[in-house]
Amino acid sequence: MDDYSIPSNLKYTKTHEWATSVNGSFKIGVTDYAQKSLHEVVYVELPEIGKKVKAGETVAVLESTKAIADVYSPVDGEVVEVNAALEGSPELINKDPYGKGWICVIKAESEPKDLLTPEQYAELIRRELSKS
Amino acid sequence: MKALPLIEFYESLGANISTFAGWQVPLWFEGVIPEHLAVRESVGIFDVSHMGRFWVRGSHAAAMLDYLFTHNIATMPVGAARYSLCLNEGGGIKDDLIVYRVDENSFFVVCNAVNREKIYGWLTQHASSYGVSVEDVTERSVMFAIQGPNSPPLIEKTLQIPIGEVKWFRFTTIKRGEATLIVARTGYTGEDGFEVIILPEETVDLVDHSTELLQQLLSSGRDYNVKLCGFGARDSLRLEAGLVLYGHEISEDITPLEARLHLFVKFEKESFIGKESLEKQDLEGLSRVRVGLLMIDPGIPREGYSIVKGERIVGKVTSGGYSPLLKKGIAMALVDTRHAILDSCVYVKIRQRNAKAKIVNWPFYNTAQYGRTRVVKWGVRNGSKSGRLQHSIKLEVYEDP
Repeated sequence: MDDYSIPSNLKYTKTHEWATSVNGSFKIGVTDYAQKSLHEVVYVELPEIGKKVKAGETVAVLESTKAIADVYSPVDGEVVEVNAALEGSPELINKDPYGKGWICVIKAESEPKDLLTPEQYAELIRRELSKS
Repeated sequence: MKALPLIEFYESLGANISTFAGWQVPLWFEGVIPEHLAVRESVGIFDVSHMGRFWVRGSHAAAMLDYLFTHNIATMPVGAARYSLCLNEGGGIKDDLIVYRVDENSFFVVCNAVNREKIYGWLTQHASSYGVSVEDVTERSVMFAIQGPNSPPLIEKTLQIPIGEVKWFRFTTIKRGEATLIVARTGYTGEDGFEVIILPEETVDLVDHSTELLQQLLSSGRDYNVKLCGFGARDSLRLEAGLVLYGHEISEDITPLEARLHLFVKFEKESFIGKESLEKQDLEGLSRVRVGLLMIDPGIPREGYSIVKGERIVGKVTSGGYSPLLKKGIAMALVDTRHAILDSCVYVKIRQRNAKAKIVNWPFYNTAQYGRTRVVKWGVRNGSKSGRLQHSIKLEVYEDP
């Protein structure tokens, strides 16, 4: 059984994104669990800067050797920054999902609801694993 | 749900398990990309026991297969293997298969797992009028594919066969303990390689014998940088080589002419099932044809995506994915022949976006560097730090039969 890293300083979504806020902007990415499930990410479709998104809408797409996964925005807002390094090195998602594998920064229009604490997210993973 | 006979062994090695054509199979062990690259650069071993395997025997077996399959079977020498197609009356492809002539009146046939029952039925249906027997030995045998530039010395060392005598699309039959092995120089990766079929006697445990052989291959293979490979790499390798897969580039609704498999259709034969339909199509011309696509814009083309030109859909992707060698998206597609122009550009509809791609020939890789006919001399490092070539054999290039 794999172990999954869940840093205690981040917030999480039910759809396996992480988010951290800095002055009302949310830097987001996908979790260790998500990258391990996807395996070998070979392409990242990044949003355009200025794109407006609602919480729960697709903001980026990850493609691995075998699967395609949407990355959902945890907040309503506008994309203000993207991690261009992923264009040439999509494997950063696998190597460093919480660091160099960040996906984009969204300037939030309102406080996000329903974000999970690390403890709640860990419980969600445990439930998903027990199902499979 | 069926499972490869050695599935528990693969699970014990930590394989990621998936299903393919109703079989539980390993999708990858370490990852698709490292396994793919091992086959291109050294050697990889696949368990392909899911494929359908039959004996076809009788004094008219050659005549029957010559009529059911598109390639020349009747004139095959003993010890030869031939890639062939089996067509329906309309010229559509029932399956693609490899036929091995084991002796004058005995043929071994390997077909796709998904078509095993259909092909068994088709062979049996014709067998009685030819006085031929058909025996399905799929579940009493195991099949490994050992593929890559280091496969010849690995096979030579493990099975004690003078490998220079087994040329491309030829095979030899050997005894290994209480099993018969068909060792064929064939494969589905674009690389030089072998497919080994293990046919144990009834007193022998299939799983034990095959596991033992696999472990021997893996341990001898350490000197050759061997990797055990899953079905993920099998698919990415065949795509990169431009090899067709049933249900994608070929099917009952796609003819060998549309799939550009002319090499394997022998119109000079007096008759074979589907011949008239193909001749008619050949005279009328084709409305669609298989092409290779290399992505110019970022993105990965996937099966079912539309190929567009302006506002019009001019084709569909039949197989697509990521090429670990080119580090780009590649695909095969069936395209309107008016747009199937080498080096021309088309667009692949990837989600909301039209991504530019170029029509190219297969294989997708540089054949001077990779693949069976690579021109470089290959060598094997024995793991020594110096990296000096320890073993070097002149590569011969054989014509496809």
